[in-house]
Amino acid sequence: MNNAARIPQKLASTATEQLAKFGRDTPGIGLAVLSTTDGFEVATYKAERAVSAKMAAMGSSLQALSEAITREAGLKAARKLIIESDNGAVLALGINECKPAMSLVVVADKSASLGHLLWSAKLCCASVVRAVNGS
Amino acid sequence: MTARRLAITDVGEAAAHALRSIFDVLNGRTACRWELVGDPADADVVATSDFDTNSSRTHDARVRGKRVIAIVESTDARARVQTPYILMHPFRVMQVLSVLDEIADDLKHPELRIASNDGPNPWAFAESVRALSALSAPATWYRAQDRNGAEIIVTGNLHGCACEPQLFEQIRSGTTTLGALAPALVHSVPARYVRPPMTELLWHNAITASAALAPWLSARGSFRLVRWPDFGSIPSTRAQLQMVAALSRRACTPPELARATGASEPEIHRLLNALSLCGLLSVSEYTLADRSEAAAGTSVGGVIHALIGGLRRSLMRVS
Amino acid sequence: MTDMPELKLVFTGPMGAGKTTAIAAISDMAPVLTDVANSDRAAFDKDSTTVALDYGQLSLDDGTVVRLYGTPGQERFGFMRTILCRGAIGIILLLDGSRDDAISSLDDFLGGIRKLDPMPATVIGVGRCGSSDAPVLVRAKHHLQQLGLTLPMFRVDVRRREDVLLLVETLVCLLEAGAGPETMQ
Repeated sequence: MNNAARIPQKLASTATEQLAKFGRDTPGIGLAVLSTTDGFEVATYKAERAVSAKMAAMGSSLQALSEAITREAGLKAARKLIIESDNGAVLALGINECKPAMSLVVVADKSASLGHLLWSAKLCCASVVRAVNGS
Repeated sequence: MTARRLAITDVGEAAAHALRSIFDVLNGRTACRWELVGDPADADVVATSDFDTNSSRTHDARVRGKRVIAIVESTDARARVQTPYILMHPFRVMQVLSVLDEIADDLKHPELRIASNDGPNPWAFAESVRALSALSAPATWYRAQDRNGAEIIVTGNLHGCACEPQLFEQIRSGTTTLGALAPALVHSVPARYVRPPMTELLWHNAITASAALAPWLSARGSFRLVRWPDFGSIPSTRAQLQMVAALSRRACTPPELARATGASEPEIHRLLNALSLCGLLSVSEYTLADRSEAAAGTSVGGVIHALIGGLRRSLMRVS
Repeated sequence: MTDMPELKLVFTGPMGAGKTTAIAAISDMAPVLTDVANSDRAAFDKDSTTVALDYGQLSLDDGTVVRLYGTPGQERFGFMRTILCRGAIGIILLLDGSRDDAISSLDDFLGGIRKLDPMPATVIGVGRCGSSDAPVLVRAKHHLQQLGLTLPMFRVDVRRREDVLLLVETLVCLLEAGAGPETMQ
């Protein structure tokens, strides 16, 4: 899963722990995938290999498209993308405060409260940034 | 019925005997009446295996306006021949009949033939390439020259060629005419020679040779593309792209190409000549099914037509 | 204008083949890019990679907009190729002739294009391959022949606008000759 050239194993392990905490503390989380901006997985929560690889790639595409449309609209940096469906939601967040920049994709069922989900995901991203920048 | 005289000279005994026997069978069935004579000086046509252009006898015959039939006994020898009339032993009766009738027709207009004998044959190189490609055991190297003696050397498998840069530029621009290929002894290729890709040499040679259709192609033929030429490596015009696109979709006759693309007859001929010499063209049987397919395929919907026109105006590629 | 169908051209091919460069060469406006840092330098020695799409456009004189889409090159973004190729009237497949996997890339991408129904008109441009008799071009032509495809395949340098225009012009000629989606006829 982890490519040491992209993220050191220690950081990947820390990120996995953070995702696990996020998943435990936030009701309704189906899966979460942390990836590089070019779509390689860094850490996952409750995602099988085949699913996590796709989510990593698609999440990075969504993040890139979000940033592109934000630029074209003359707005400042895109922060998150929310896709609501009848029975759940997909959340894609950019993590640009560390190097390498990353993306977090979260899939939640309809039992998740959107507000709680967004706040919890933000905390998760902040802890990932601290782990990367602090190393 | 017109009478013509044929002399058989410097031909192997078996070939000469076979030719005389076929003559006996054919006489009365040919377009004119043929008489065998002993002295080439008395003949209208000389059949000979001594077709070396440096031979005085063959040279004399040509100078006096006599037609020469080259009698060959191998495909290697055939590749070296530069006369339009060739008979290969063992002879086929219908082949002999065809050649005799063609010469008879040709002899009706002696002034035209003599005029064309004086000038270079634009297809000499191309036809020798075609003959060479049919050989099963070619020599290692072949050489062709233009009227100034500038040479181009070609490998026997037609995979490579080399010449002075200036000659290749002249070939590209069509400002020189190459003679036929002949086997050559090449110890080394001069360092100053360029080695253009063979397909580029054949393309430029054929597309500049003549505005008329090549002698091996029929104006009544229906042609289909085997493979696209690499227009990234050779120049192209819009008309050429349009014609090749049409040929890639369905078999087309020259008039159908004209209708589909608006290209002129010389443009069509030159393109077909080049595609053919490069092995990119096949001749298909023209059937009623092809005719209706061709008719159906040439109409483009009005909306897409307008879009294509607008796109073309916007892009304005130099062509 | 709302009744005019869109003319959508897609530039596809493996990473590093020049899709973004090609679109930039002919787009009226600076293309929209979704390039991010390439973290897999071992596989592809490029600073950046497209992860969603490139977008450019040509405005025709009657107000019609021709949309130019570039797909990501890497296989894990294959889903984007499927999305972007939907409804495309023409595809320009670009290959990097200097790579050892050029022919397998040709095979992979053509396989995807042939699955499109209807199959769009397709032109192939091969970059970084030296002379016109380069071995990669010979092998590529042979491969097309084995697949039974008579597609235009040209040696190009997509940094040159003329070369990109040649590819688009050829696509236009194919459309005129009746190639491409019948719904557009």
